[in-house]
Amino acid sequence: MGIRRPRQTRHAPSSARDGRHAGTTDPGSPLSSAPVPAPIAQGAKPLAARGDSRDLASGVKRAAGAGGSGMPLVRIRGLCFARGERVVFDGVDLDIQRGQVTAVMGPSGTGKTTLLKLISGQLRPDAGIIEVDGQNVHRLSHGDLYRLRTRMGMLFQSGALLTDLTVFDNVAYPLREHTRLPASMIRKLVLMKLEAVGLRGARELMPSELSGGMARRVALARAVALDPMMIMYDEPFTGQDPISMGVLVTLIRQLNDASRLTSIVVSHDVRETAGIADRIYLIANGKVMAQGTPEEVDAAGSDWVHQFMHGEPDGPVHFHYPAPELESDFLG
Amino acid sequence: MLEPLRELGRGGLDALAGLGRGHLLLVGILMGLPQATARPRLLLAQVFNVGVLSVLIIAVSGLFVGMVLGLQGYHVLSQFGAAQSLGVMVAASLVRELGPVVTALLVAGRAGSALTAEVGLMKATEQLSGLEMMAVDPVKRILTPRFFGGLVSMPLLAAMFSAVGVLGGWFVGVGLLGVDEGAYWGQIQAKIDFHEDVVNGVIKSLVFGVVVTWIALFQGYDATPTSEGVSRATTRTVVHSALAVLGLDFVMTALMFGD
Repeated sequence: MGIRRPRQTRHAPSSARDGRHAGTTDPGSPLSSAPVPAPIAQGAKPLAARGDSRDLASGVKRAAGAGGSGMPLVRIRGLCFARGERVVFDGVDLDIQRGQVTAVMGPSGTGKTTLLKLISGQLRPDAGIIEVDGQNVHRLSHGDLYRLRTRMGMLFQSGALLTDLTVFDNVAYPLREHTRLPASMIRKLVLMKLEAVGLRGARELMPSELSGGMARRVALARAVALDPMMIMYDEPFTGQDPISMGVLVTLIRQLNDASRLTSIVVSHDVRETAGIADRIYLIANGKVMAQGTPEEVDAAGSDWVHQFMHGEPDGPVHFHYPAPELESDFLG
Repeated sequence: MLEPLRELGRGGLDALAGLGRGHLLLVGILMGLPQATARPRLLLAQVFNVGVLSVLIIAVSGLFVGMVLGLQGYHVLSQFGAAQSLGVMVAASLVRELGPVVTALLVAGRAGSALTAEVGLMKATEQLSGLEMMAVDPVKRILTPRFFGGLVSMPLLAAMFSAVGVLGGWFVGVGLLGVDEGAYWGQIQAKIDFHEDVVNGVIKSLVFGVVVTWIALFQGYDATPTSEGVSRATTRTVVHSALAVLGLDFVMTALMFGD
């Protein structure tokens, strides 16, 4: 397996640039050196520390050109999927552009994780086409699908680390399975990946000894172990403390740009996700409710979109599940 | 009026669908065997998990079963003046029936339930999905070595159960009740036939090994990925394995010894 040398870019997320995340990390904290992707570990200055002040729009243009092709990496047309009686997707069209961070957001239970499983071929749609890098995922043979998956990484909500293996062995796992690299080379690669997520020192720990945030960072190192063309993040920010969340937010953006990845972030954490996304799809009720750059989506006229993006309790979406009047429940 | 009928039909269809999924899984597991043999360490680890870790319960159970057989056998045989045939009675009971059957039941309870819980929890914690996303087939990588472990361990454990049971019978019959030691071992040597008794017992163990491990792995792999789902699957493993072992034992006994 060849080792692709990640390209250094000067692009940084707005959230990282304005010091909301990595810039506010306590220098004395063990996490302070965490957001250091591989090229940075080789001597470059951390992106978050450069004070790059360009706006997100310029970053979008740069990232969009990084793939070298106008074709979207993931192309979804007319996607229909139901679980029993419940329709999850009803004719969804969606494009994931190469080199970009695309956020898929929506309320809980709208099928965001299901979408990732459909893209990765773990689920089969009832109708519609899902193409990844020009290949119809659900028409591939078992072998071809697995070959495609070696070029896709996925960060699961739970981390999904193999609990009987150490951190080192978890990250080394895909390399040992899919390459014939010598052990010394695998060791170096694993240490580089772990350095990138700030956990080189934790390589001998078992998954049960890791915090939730650390487990997810190890899972991220494992997901990028084979230098995939795209990586899918399933609710990466859920249950994270502010420091871990800041580190993860920065890492996702930096990994995408430094390694020329294409990233799909599924989340309902609006502020964090919009801070690093080049493009956002808002999904609800089986449809795409809004799409565009974060600014475009934020400026959309829809009440629903406005309520979701600003987390307002009143609007088209009700906080309370339909119920009889409170008085009648308590007094009747 | 029609609702119970509809429920019955739905239940039947679900059971058939489950049976189909189970057989497809078995095919997948068997297809992974050539690949798994290329990694003997993985296979040995599972032989250790399923087999070696079950040795204690098998040995202790075998000892007590043999002792009970010695006691009960002596009591019955002495009424007909045939107490000197105690050895062959104990050995034949163990090698033909009790060894394979009780071992299978014990393995289903100890190792089978553990396999189901392990695989079910791997599913619930998305480890199996994680393997799939790393382009690693979880059936071949996780299930096949465990299946192999069960298949290899079962006849070995059954042989151990029978051997320890014969010793337990000897301890009670010869040591405590005064049966002649030469008669005890001599009768075993003379009357236990290698092909009819030992080989048939080994065949039974192999079949039970396949069935118990298959049920355990399928229940784990097919479990609803919640704590309740894994708990139910573990219970189903023990119940289904016990019923399958006892039913198959009757069928195989009828075929092997039914004349």
